[in-house]
Amino acid sequence: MIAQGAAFWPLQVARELDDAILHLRINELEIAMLVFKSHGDRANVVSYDAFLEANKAHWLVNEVRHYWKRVLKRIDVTSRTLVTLVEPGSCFVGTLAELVFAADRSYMLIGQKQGDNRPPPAIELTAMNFGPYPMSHGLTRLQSRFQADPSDIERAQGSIGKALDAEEAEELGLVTFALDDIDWDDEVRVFFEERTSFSPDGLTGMEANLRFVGPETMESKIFSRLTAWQNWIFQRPNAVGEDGALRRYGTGQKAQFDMTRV
Amino acid sequence: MNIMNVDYSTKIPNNVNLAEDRQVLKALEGWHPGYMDWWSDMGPDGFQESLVYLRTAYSVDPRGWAKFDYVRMPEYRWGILLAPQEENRVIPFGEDYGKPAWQEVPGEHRAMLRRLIVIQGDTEPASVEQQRHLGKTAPSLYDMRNLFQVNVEEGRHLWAMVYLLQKYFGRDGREEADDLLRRRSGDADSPRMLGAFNEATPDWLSFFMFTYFTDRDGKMQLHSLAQSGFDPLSRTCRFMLTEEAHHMFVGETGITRVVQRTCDAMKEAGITDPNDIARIRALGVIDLPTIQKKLNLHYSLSLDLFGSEVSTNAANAFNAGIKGRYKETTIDDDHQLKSSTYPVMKMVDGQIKMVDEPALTALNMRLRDDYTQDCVKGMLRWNKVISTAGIDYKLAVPNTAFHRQIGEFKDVHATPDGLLIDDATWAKRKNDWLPSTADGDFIASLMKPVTEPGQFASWISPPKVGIDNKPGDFEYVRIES
Ligand SMILES: [Fe+2]
Ligand SMILES: [Fe+2]
Repeated sequence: MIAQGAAFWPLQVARELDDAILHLRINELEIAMLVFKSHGDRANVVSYDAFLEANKAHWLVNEVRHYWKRVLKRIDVTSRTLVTLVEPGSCFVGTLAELVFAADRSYMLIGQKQGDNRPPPAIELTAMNFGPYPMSHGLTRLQSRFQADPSDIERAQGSIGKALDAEEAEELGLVTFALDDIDWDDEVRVFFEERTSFSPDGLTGMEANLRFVGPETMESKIFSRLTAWQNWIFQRPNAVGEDGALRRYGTGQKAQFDMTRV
Repeated sequence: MNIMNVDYSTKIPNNVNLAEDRQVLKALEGWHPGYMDWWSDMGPDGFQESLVYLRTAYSVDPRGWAKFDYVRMPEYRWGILLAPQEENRVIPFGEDYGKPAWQEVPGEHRAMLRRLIVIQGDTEPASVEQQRHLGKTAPSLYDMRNLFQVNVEEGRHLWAMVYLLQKYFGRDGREEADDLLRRRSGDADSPRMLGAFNEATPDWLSFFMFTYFTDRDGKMQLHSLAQSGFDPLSRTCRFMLTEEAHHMFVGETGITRVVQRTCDAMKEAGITDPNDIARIRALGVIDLPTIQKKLNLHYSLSLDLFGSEVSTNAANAFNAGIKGRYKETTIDDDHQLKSSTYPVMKMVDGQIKMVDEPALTALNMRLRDDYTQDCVKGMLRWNKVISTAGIDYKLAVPNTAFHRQIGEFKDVHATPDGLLIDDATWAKRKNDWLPSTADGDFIASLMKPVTEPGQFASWISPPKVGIDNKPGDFEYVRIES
């Protein structure tokens, strides 16, 4: 690991992901939606996660784990619609599976795609999904997701190490929708089109509220839900401007939105 | 019918290349058994084994889209037929006016489109449920056939909407399609979506009024959806309208024949006063004032189907290019309604007044006005029959404010002439304007089945011509077969 240095895979991915997110947040204000996909061998990710867990006392592993924690937090507070598509050939395992749980919506394919002989996708949980990567309000993404019934966490924990197909993942509550090949393209297209037509401020508010469920910490009060509080949404030009949603409400005329995400 | 025995490529008439559409085939396989169960539970009560002389739509060719033959209703070949695609069709109204029509659901408007399709779809099976007991009291085999024709075609209209849901709305579309079979007209727990479709259709005069007034609401709705920028919806509705025309024919001629029989009987008995009700009823016919009461009821219930006069939903649907106006393409304006107004009948300071509203939000009112005009046309024929018989009486539609449950006038009482009255007066006079229990009992007493070919019940005249040009004594329904 030391010899690999910056090329140590978990470190390299974290850095590249961090860089990409920062670029999109700062330079691409009109992009409304970020779609996460992954490609690779699940077994490799399992091994890296096991390595990060077994050697957590080592100073560099410790740094890498904290780095991943911060990168994932950055994704949580990104005011764009986050979508993760779990398709054949993907490797959403452990650390990378956090991208499924960070997403506002995730879609997972049931079975194979017509004309594609790769096996159906699977998700796999590791120890990394149950502690090392808390969100800014102190909960893991799965804890945040399963606020309503903490026993869901135990069920998920019981499936560590198991390759979960789409129906199992949906059953465990790990993905938003499991769709088969027949529905996939159209459902995903329509969702993209629908989301990109909504008020960007409204979405920022809604998404922030749904991402950070439950308790607040000082950190989350500053960086998470409250920054997208409804008072802010209602003062924005997209709401109260001449062509904003509140002014046009009831007229049948569509509101004109400034589509930049802030 | 067992699903395993259905060969979709040949059994279901269609022009949507069903045999190669694995998405719809899969969805239809799941839905079809439920539809057949629904038809046997909620379709016509009795006569399911009878041979009925029905037309079946096989293609969309304007010269020969339907074929007549004897069929058992459960074996009717419900099909999926869309009017041919118009080349380079554009969105004829709204914000996207002039852009190419959508061949796929635009994500932005998906929820609204789905809702409109579900509401339209919900009315189709509802009317079959409302009419399911009427076969047993049909005044002739001719009328019985017409009833069943309307029923199977409403079934096909359900298929048409289900096809759109299953083809274009993925998983929620399939759920909505299942729900269309789950709701029941008049059910306390899961009623049909619109009021008039939960009312009873207790007798044949109601059936004719329903097909005249309520199917005509359907016609107006289909016309506005036929304008839709979502092309598959437009094409579906255009073809449904060809069938809908027959339903309104059944209503219009049905009432004409009832009025004719009443006038003939009065003349034969030398009665000239249309209000001499007891003597007229003794002749075994329905007196004109009672016909007027039924008309008042069905017309006012149908007006409610147009929703609130001023409506943001209607405005949004128009602006989005999803639901247009009646004959949109022939209207000479900007098709966007950015600044025009439309006069709306409203309650202002306790009085009925016309108020100019932004035309965009007054679209329901406009469609309802078009509807009223359309209603009045057919009524001229009924009044012609009455005046030709030398009887001094005129059937008329009641004032818009009369007997309303939705919109501007839902909280007031008005006479059929549009005079506002208080609760006490309404309670006292209500039975002068709407069918009373006694009126209903009298009509019910006339509802004796006539199943001899060429014979008709005492209260209705024979039609001028037969269906498919068949002779007067044609056996339209072979009951025992
Ligand atoms: Fe219909
Ligand atoms: Fe109809």
